[in-house]
Amino acid sequence: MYSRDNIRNFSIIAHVDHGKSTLADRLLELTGALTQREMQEQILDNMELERERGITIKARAVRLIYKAKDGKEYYLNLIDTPGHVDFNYEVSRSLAACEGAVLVVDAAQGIEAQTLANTYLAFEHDLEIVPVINKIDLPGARPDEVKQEIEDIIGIDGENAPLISAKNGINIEEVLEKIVELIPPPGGDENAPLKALIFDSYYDAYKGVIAYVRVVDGRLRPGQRIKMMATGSEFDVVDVGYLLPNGMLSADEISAGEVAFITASIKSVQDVKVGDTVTTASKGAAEALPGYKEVKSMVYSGIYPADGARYDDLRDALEKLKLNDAALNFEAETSIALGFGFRCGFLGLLHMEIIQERLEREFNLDLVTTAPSVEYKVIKTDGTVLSVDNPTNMPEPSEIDYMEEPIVRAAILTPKEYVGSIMELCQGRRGSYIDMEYLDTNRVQLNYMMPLNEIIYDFFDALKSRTRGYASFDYEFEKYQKSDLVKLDMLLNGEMVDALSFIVHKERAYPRGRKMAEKLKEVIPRQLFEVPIQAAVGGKIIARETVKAMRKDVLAKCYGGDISRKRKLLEKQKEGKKRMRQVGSVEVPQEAFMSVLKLDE
Amino acid sequence: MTGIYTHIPFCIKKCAYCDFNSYSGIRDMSYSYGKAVISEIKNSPYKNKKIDTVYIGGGTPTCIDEKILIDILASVRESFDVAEGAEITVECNPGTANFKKLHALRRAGFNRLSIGCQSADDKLLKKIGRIHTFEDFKNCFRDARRAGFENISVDLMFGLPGQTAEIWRDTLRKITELGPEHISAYSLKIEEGTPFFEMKSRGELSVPDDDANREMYDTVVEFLKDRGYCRYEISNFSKAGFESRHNLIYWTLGEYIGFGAGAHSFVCGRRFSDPLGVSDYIDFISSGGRAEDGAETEPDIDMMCEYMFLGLRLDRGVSEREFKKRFGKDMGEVFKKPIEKHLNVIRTLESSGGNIKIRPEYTYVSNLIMSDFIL
Repeated sequence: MYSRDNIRNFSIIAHVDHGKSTLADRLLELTGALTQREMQEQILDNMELERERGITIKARAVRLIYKAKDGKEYYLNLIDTPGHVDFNYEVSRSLAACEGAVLVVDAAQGIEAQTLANTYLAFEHDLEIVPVINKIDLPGARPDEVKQEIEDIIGIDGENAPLISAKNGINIEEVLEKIVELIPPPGGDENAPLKALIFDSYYDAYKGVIAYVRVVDGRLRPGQRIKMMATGSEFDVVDVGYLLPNGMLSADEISAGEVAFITASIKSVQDVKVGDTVTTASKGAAEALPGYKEVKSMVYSGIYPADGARYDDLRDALEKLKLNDAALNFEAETSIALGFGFRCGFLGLLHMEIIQERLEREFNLDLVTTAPSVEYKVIKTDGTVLSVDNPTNMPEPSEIDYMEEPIVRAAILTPKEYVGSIMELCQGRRGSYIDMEYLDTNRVQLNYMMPLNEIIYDFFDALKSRTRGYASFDYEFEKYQKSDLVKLDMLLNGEMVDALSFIVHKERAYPRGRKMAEKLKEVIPRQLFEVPIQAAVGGKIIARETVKAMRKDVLAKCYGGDISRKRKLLEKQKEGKKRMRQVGSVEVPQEAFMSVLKLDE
Repeated sequence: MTGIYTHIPFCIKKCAYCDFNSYSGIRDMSYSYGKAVISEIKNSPYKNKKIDTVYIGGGTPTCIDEKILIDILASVRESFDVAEGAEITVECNPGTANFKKLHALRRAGFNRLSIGCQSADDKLLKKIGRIHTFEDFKNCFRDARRAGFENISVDLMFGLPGQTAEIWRDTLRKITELGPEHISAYSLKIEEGTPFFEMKSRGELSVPDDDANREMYDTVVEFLKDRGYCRYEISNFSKAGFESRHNLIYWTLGEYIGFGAGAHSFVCGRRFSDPLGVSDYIDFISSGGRAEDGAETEPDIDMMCEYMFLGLRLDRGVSEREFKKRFGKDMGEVFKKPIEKHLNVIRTLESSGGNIKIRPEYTYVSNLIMSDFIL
């Protein structure tokens, strides 16, 4: 047994690309040798088992053993946090499992939007912040200025921040020393009723769901009957133990202050909700740990297989991803234009992109995705309230009393010379200005209230291009707000294409409809007949374009010898058509459905 | 109906757009080549078959000694049962044929002459690499008439670099004044491996765009119709009764036997072809080779698709009765989906007298229709 005084629970927080993962790798490497020598016998079985099954443990928490300069051995539990605003809630639960956080700041970039957002989150959990300045060996490094930024902007002492290069392994040991020195050991009462915070979970085909927890009070043992306090579901603990860099190490007991895994033949990640409290089924804790929230989707999109025959494959793939991702929601939907597919709910844009990319890369699927939507509240004239995340389900205007849309609080950090341009962008996206603060002499934080549906199109790209990549951006849900919204429909050859409809603010409907019609004209190839493209709001045409009929597509010369060559040409043409969607009698390329994302306003 | 095709892969000079199997500068091989062709004909496993058309194409058949062509025709007659009144065509380049040559060919039994004129504009002719002037063509045409050719076809091209609508109309006017029985009018297609392709990729060649090209096509159809030429295939026009019987065999998926370098055959359900290169071909034949590696293919769905996309090239379209006779199946069943779409929904096809055909206004975008008939 080891003493609780020798435990340190911490996370690493950083803006994207500031070197969080590289630092984590270095910490593992530096402490790994000791871990391996001492633990080899115990973990060997474990590892072989995993190798046999081809499992790779999702390393979202890992215990490192470090022999500090004071001569003592410390158990450092590193809890990983997802680095993006979409996963804010998950980040906050991971931080709640810690006593401290290592804040990595890029020596050249300095403090950015996510640096601040994550630091504020850490402050909210009363974490001890250990600032670290990374990439000091890069030519643009300005460590002294960044130290000053840390003091001025964050308000913590930056003077003693280790100056490191995670990439080249410079000064990593100093980080470990600071962790031991500055971060307090965990508190908690081993003799109180069990309270363990779930901060992550992972689905294993053999063991069921593996819950990653921080034991706050009490003790956790195999054989215990446990209860998830939010969901109420109960399980018998099969195994508990530690998460090591190269596998899991079973233990007889885990007590307050420690980070551990639990397996309990749990079949669904839905039963292991991040933020929930684990207690014993009898004589359990009276109150759950604070901060639990039901995870809610913020962004929705229709996902369809490019090849309709792969619908079942798509469903299987989504189900597999959902095993490990409680935040992913999906249900079957049908589109006249796209056939059978799924309406999926995501935490945010990044989450959506990750899922789409995994479906394509890991499951080898070709997808057609519709424009993302947010969830609108429709208050109908009969008083009922409807949630609409698919424009197709929006009721007739005559049935609508009013509508509400989600508003987010957006924080944009930028060098001051781009302020004007960003304000213009935000205003164009219906943002309302809250305030602006100078972080230092050069940098500004702009705060805006913005409709989420203005952000999910191409806001981030627009922001990057206006600021040459210098601005960073963060947002969080604020409220639902009454708004004058309309459904914009696109018609091809007089027929409405359901998958192209979207909900938009009334004043933005005309420019968007026009852009959309222009874009469709670009992407729809000429056909046998002229194809009118129309944008309509409530049956009224607000924009129109025309794809002219094809004028020439012919094999001029075709005689005996070259029939097979001509045949190949037609076959190729037919293959091209396969990638098209038949909408009425119009052939529409798959990318047309995504083109709404790139309107480039 | 069965046709015989014989390929003469020699030219004085390759044209800038040509990607056919033909070579310049090796005409000294023509005698040994001719011997090889005759040997292939004599050893054909389809000997004594009844033959309805004979076609000697190229390359430029008239650029070699006409005696070779005459010997080839003689050996065809000797080895096959060439029908009385068979259509016997030879292709000709105006820069390579004089009265004497044409007269000899006519006397030997060739009864149809296909002359490559391409344009009546000398500047264009030069630009596309032709070796003759329009004056040469006119002389050739008159010589052919004097030699007794009563069935003459003229090849023309449009969509040429720098060609205007006016130049095109002028060519049509000058050609129709001469009154050939048959006219083929092809749009220039820039093929990989040709000098034009290289020029185009370097940005040194500009051809009329698709809209202008279409105008030229519509012009030729209308212009020739007014002068008594029917468009019986996408790019082919003739006076009544002068359709190319040989080419109709291709478009109706009939039988043809090919002799010579790179010649394709489709006979008795077999498809095969000869080696492409001239020396390869000569070596192959002289070492006793026989171009027949293809196994017999049963009429299958692929063949039905070919039958459709070839037949739809014709103004008369494809006959439901002929289809049933040939394949034992209903065309309307096999091609239910594309027929429904194109006949009833977007109406690019029409049906009359048991035939299905492409409506004339969609002829020039027929790939979009035919590709739906590839099942």
